[in-house]
Amino acid sequence: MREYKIVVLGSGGVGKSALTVQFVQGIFVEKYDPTIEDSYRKQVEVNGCQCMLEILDTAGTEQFTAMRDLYMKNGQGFLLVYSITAQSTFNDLQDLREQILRVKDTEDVPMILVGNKCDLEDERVVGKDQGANLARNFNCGFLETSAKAKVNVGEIFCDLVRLINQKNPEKVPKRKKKSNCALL
Amino acid sequence: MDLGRQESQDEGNRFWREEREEGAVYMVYLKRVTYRSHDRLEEGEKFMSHLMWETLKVRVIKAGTLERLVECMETCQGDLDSSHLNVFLSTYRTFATPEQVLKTLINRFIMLKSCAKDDDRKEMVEEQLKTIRSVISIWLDTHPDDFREHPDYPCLLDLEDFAKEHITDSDLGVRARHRLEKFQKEAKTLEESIEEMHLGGRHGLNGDKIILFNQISNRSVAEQLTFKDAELFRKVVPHHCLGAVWSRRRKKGGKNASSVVATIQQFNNVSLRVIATVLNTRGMKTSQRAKILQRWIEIAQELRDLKNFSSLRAIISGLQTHPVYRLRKTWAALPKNIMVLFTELSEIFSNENNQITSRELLMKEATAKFPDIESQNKTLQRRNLLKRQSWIENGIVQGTVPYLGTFLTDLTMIDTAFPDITDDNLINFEKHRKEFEVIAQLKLLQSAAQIYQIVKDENFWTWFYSVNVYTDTESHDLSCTIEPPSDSNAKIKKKSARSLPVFRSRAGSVPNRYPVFSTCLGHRPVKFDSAKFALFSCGLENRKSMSSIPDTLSTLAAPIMTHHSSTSSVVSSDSDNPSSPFRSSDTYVIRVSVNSTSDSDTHVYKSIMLTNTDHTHTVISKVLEKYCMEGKPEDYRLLQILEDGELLIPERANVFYALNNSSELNFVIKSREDYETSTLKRQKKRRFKKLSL
Ligand SMILES: Nc1nc2c(ncn2[C@@H]2O[C@H](COP(=O)(O)OP(=O)(O)OP(=O)(O)O)[C@@H](O)[C@H]2O)c(=O)[nH]1
Ligand SMILES: [Mg+2]
Repeated sequence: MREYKIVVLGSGGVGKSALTVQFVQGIFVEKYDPTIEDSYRKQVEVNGCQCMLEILDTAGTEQFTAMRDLYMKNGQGFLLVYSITAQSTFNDLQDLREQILRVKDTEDVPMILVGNKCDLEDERVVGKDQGANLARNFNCGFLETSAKAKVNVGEIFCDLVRLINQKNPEKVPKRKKKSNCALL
Repeated sequence: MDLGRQESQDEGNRFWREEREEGAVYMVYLKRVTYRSHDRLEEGEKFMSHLMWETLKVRVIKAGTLERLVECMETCQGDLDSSHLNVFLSTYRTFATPEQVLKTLINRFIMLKSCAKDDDRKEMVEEQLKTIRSVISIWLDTHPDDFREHPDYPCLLDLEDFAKEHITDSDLGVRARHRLEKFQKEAKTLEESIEEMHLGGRHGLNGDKIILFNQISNRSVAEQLTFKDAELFRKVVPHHCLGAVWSRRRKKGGKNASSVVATIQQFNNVSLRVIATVLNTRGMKTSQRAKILQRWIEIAQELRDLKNFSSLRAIISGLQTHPVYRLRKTWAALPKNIMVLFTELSEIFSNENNQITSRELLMKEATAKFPDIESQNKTLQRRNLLKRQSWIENGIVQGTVPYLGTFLTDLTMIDTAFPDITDDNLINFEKHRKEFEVIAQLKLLQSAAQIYQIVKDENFWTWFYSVNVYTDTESHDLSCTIEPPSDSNAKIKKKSARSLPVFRSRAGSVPNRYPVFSTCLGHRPVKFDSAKFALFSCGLENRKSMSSIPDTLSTLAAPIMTHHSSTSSVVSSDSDNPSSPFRSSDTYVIRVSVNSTSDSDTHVYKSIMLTNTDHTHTVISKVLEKYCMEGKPEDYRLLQILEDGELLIPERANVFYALNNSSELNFVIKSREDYETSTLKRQKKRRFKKLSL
């Protein structure tokens, strides 16, 4: 089964953990407990293929951003999450993307822009068109989500898997790891 | 709960434990007070017994309800705790209105007064009542604007009534009345002046002849900008800078943080004029255009001398925007020493190290008489020396204007990192105490900004506002007509970029937040595309050199940042061990998984912070909390996962020292039964490694 390393990035409190836990365990976490670095696994079916996702839920809190370079290097696909209720979290993504491109040293990195907390329409400050514009600017996918109301949660992960597939069509379909050295 | 009790012999305050009461959580510190005997020298006295030192308990409120926070203004002896009051008055607007605070104070006063009848408590209660009176009086004096509630002024009216009824022996009621009348009068004058402006304003611009940029001396430009910046900075209301107020959560922040917005606008106005004057030169020769660049660099140096870091940064940012920065020929026409000067000035704000350079400079110079200018360049060195001499001889003393963005970042970071409300639904006062540390610095600098003695020159400002500024697309187009882009251009640009220091923008740092926010510039409102127009994020093509500076440095440079669930610590990265970048002498980040069959297939690990005072049960509690699991720490076992098996951390160990730090810091917690059954099985198979202490 092919493995995918997915990294969830964004400012503190935007709902990275909430989205991840909603996707992996199907529950909504109400409590805010700043993350340092958490990791999850989940098996899903995308386009009829079984995939094992390894999801790294990262810290938005400034104190822990030193780890970023490392997991950017290891990650294959990225979810860039902001909250539609906080403009600053939206503005922060520009830098984050720059950092990813820098670490990866390529322009073509599978990523999806995610505007979370779309259930909080009353508190919206970042317009949907702003998100769409930024995604165009980034040349990446875009979806608004709600970890609370379970909107588009599965979609962002599965879309990202598809993007990774597009970039790296499966080379060695079976038992990639172990038989690697025997193949030429 | 005796979690976290320490037996160390440190001097000074030492955290001991947390205490909980209804509606409040306190941090309790042990403070050792040493008593020196004066007659130590006398022989024979040596063995006399006297008190050498004693340990006192100091309680500091960490979180509480509004009522509890207000009670804390009294110390346990009943007198005023002025440092608590200071923090409270500087930050309370993020969690309560002036009206709520006043009500709480008044209610407490009335409640205490009714207790004053019991004889045994009488003295204490008298003291407490006195304290509440001083609190109200200090509040009214130091934050009068809290009471400016046009048109009804409910607080002042309540206060007057209260004073009349309960505090007849003081002038508090009279002062409330005076305040009210003063505010009403001011409101009226304001209305009149607004009306006047609508009727008669705006003639100045058309009538007067506008002077030209080259008719104003560099020094005057710098002085006038400083005049304006100092005025705006002095007017910054410190609590407008609080993260919750100015940036993210209060949506109508613009209104509440008007004093901050005004500063940002002026900053952008300056940057935009730098861009405009350089680009509005289509007919000119490159050398003439270079002269304008040179002038701005020289003005920047003047600002440096004036210790005005705000406009200094605005000019540097303007010069570093892409449309200006890409004018390769123009930059090449600059004299070498001017280039050196520019490089040195921009290094002050290099984003490396979380702006440690500008911070250090600022704190060093905030109260110094004149700037401490250093240069690597010989001619500049000489010039600086002469300048310094003339300052000393003429007895010139200068003020300071900082770059407000530094404070806004710090406060935004605190605001993001700490919750407003704790899990038990109390106001997180610990957060506000941290905010106050930054605000206190800001206030200190505000007093330094008053030292300037500059007179306003209307001519300058007429010129300033007459400059036609460009949007970013306009700027870009103009720039391209001046020096058309070409392939070779791009190459050289990359090369020259190295000699020009560029602003590196890092996630969470000011640059993107700061200038992007303002949308109204001068008298010509321009709407900017915030994603594109970021004055600070220019020069990003120089990627390689940026990534060479590890982000950890910036973490180190922000000691005010502490994670709320851990003790304060400085984290550093250990490049030898890439799997765990957080290892320092007193903290580790460790990865812990939970051994439970239910979701073992989905979950891998979560990370927590381990400090050098954490005992096994503390760590297990943290893990349970992280996983939202119920249960007592005693029912679990903590094991480190090693290559050759698992290491059981004994129940009473200090985990920080007990763990094996030559391998990865991966742990698992297992319920006691699970652990026991698994070891039984395993013991049969292979030897189990157990740590003995
Ligand atoms: N209404 C609503 N609240 C949400 C949503 N997603 C997250 N939240 C809440 O927002 C808060 C923060 O969510 P987290 O998922 O912990 O945020 P995070 O991005 O992981 O934050 P860090 O770990 O500090 O980087 C929590 O109180 C969540 O309950 C959402 O879609 N809608
Ligand atoms: Mg999180």
